[in-house]
Amino acid sequence: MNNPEPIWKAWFAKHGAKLLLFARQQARFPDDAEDLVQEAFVRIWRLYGHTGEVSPGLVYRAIRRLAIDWARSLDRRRIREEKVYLQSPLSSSFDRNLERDERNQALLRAVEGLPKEQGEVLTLKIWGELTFDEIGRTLDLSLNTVASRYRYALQKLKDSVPREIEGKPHPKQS
Amino acid sequence: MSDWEELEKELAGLTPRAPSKDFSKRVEDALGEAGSVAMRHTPDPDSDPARTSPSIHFWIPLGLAALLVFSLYLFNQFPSELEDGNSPITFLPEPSSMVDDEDSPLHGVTSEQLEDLSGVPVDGWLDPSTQERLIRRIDEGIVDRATGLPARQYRYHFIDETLWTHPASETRILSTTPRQEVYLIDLELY
Repeated sequence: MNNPEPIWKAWFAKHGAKLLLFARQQARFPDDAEDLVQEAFVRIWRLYGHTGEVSPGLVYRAIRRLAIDWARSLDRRRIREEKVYLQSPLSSSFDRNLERDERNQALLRAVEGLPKEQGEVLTLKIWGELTFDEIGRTLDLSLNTVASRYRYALQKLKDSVPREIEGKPHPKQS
Repeated sequence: MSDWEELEKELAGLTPRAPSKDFSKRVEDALGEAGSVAMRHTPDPDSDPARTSPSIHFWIPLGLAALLVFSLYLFNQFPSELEDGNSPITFLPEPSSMVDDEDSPLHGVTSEQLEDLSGVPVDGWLDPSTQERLIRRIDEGIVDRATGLPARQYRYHFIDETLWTHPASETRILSTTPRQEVYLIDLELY
């Protein structure tokens, strides 16, 4: 005998963490990240769920569009103002690995210090596991732009992380 | 391994935190019935995988190979009609072609000969009147465009009627031809 299980649960278990990470970058306030993921995922799953297969790129794209819309929305701005806003570092969105914690924290601080346009490309490539082509479609960018932003991001991380490890402040944080 | 590859590997080794149970429950509630439309059948924990017949290991790859060959055959026989377009609504005309049938009894027959043979006059016909009748519209659900964007596909079934009238002989000829049109309507992602 087989146990029927909603497909969305397996899909969400696989992609939920990555979507939240991306949403956190896109949202103006960290509190909005879960709302963004929920809204985008539910809308896309209602469209595609019957097929049992949903491209993660569609949800990333929906998150981005929603984030833009919400940033413009007066209602949501009012709701946000009523919330207690807590600034939380990017590292709070990752599992802790104590063995290499200092290095990891430095890496994540450096990722957080990247310009937004480079950070979102890096996130979709590294943790979203999208191709450059898929990232281009998600962010409405050309392939060349995506590739160059990714290269710039990696170069900045490479340059800045050793500085952080040595205890020197990151240029954006000083 | 280059510095960048090492850095990529290092970054990929950092695991984003999984959604909390509370959040997953919120998503489940928000999905409602849409969440249970597609179900996957997972093996019963009580079932013993060792009971699976060994012959299945032979038949499954064979079946998949046969399916692949059949799919390639279909793909070559019937090129996809869902070609990508940039307009919000895309009309996909059915392929049609005119072929001169040399085996037809009318092949090579002149109009005068035809008039004698059929008893139907050649001259004196009014301009034909045409009418398009919608039979039904079928919502075929969501499809993927090549761009990866979703679109809703509607298939319209028509009957095209053409009426030829010859007043002098009070002759009327009605021709009906079935026709289908497929429309793709782009959907907003949210």
